[in-house]
Amino acid sequence: MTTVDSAPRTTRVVTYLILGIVFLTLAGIGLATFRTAKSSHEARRKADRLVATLGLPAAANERIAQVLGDDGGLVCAAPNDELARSQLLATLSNGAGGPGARPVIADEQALNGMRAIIQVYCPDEADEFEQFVADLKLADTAK
Amino acid sequence: MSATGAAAAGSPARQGKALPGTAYISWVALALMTTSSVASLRPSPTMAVYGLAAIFLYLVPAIVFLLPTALVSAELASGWTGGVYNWVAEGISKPMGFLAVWCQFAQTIFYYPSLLAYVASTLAYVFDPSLAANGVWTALVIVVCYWTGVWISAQGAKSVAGLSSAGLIIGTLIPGTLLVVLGAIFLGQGNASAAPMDASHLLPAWAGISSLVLIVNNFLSYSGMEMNAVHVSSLRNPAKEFPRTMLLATGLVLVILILPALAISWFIPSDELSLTAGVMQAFDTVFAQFGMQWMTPVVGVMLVAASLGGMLTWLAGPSKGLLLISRQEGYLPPFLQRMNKHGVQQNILVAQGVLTTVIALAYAFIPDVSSAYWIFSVITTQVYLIAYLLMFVAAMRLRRRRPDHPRGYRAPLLGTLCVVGFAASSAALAIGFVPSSQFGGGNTALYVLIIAVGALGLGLLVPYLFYRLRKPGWRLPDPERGHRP
Repeated sequence: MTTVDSAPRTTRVVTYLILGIVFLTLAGIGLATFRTAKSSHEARRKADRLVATLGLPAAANERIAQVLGDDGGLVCAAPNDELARSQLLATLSNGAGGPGARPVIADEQALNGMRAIIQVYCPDEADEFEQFVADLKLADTAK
Repeated sequence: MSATGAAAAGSPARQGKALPGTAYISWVALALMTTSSVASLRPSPTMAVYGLAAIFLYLVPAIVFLLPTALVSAELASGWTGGVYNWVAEGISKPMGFLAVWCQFAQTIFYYPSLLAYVASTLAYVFDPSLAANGVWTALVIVVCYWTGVWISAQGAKSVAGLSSAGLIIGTLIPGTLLVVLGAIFLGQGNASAAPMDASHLLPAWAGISSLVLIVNNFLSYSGMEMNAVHVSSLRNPAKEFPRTMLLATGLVLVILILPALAISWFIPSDELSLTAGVMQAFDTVFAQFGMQWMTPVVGVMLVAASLGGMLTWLAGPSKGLLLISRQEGYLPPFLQRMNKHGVQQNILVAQGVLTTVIALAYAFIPDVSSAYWIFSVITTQVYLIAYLLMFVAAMRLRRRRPDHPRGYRAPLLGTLCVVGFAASSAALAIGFVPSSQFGGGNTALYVLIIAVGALGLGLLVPYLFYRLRKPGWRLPDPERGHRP
């Protein structure tokens, strides 16, 4: 009866240490490189437009400027790229956090935020993105 | 929280008798592994769109799917080791046991690239948003993370238990708690919730078949609860400890899925949510509200740790079940049955890794593949549901045919639980044929055909071929019983 189902303690500890160092390094690089969007005049101007477009409370302006900056951040990085779209399509899914994730018929407002951000921050991409959204089947499933 | 020391090996039904040689893991560690397999913060922004109705969307599936799955698998694991393959093999037949574990295994193949693409996107948010659409970056992250996962999984259950538990705590429980606490402070400061929190918003809007698709597909939010039962023989006293494991995991899963989604809906109006940036943008927005955006990259790396911890459990679980039944019945060629010095199914992991690498490269570099990738998640979840149907049938048959078999736990109203679980699984299987948003206005018959052919091919044809081509000489002693080749 010699079933062995685990590496020795030393091997495990070394693995934990290596991974700990890797993740701490990633966090360190993240802290050094992460650029909080500057709340510049342009950022605030665009945030104003987004707030008006979506009918949000004016208080949201500063927060939006800090997150989206003047370029829309990740949303406007490449909204019409197939890879980015693939990741977007993956989010139009059920509430699973594991392999049970599967597509659903998403709510109409699920993409409102993205559409508005693209219109305000990267309008050159808007037409193509609107066409993409128009091809999706959406429904009014949220109140 | 993780493993509790090395000690004994033994038969899964050993009921606490310690035999020298195997490493044990604690029931808490197994509960955290189970939680890590099922729950994460990844879907929180998606569900935040539904506001208060997110509670309904998680609780109804919990009653009809999570509860039956958890209680039935608790009873089965308290009486039989090996997980779903052995339960179905004992309750129905060995070929069906192989089919069940194959379905559990096969559904992960297309899961890893999508999970790791999310990891790549999260890291891109932290380092440089333009990387999110970069194929080389995405492929690199998928391949490096996946093979690192294989290397760790090859160290055995204790490493997986330790790291997935740590990943869950660091990358899900701590950020999730932070989100909820900040949300409570936000409301406590007198701010109005962005999403209405009154009784009239407890239920989602009814939009006919679309709402049905949403509710029924949410049953699958809890898929994977039974998966880690394959490690039940690593518990000191499986009969008593596994039910506790399921109880703790069930509570944690519900809390993790519901509360952070609600917290996001307090802060961010559904109109403002951007699903592409997902959970990262949600955290960034919350931190911006409190002037602590410097935390965003730290939380990003923590979320990555949780995703990778969850991936480890899926690498270690179904492939082990596949190994165990294949060695007993010779369903896989000896090459694939080979284990490393820690008793881990190394070659199955490597073979799966090669396939995953090919899929990941196609996903990252071929636009037609990436744009249609979502369809694989429909096919694979259909395949996984076959395993659930078999599990519920096996549980009923085992209770009826072997009522006196020692079980550490007897689920109350097992028959009812099995009927409800079977019906829920069948409903989810049927609803999987309804075209989703991504299919747009395409031909419904074509959609049904694609899903049916894909599910039948992956879920039935492949395991049938393995079964037909098996050879008696491929049978090898069962490693769970302590024999080494």
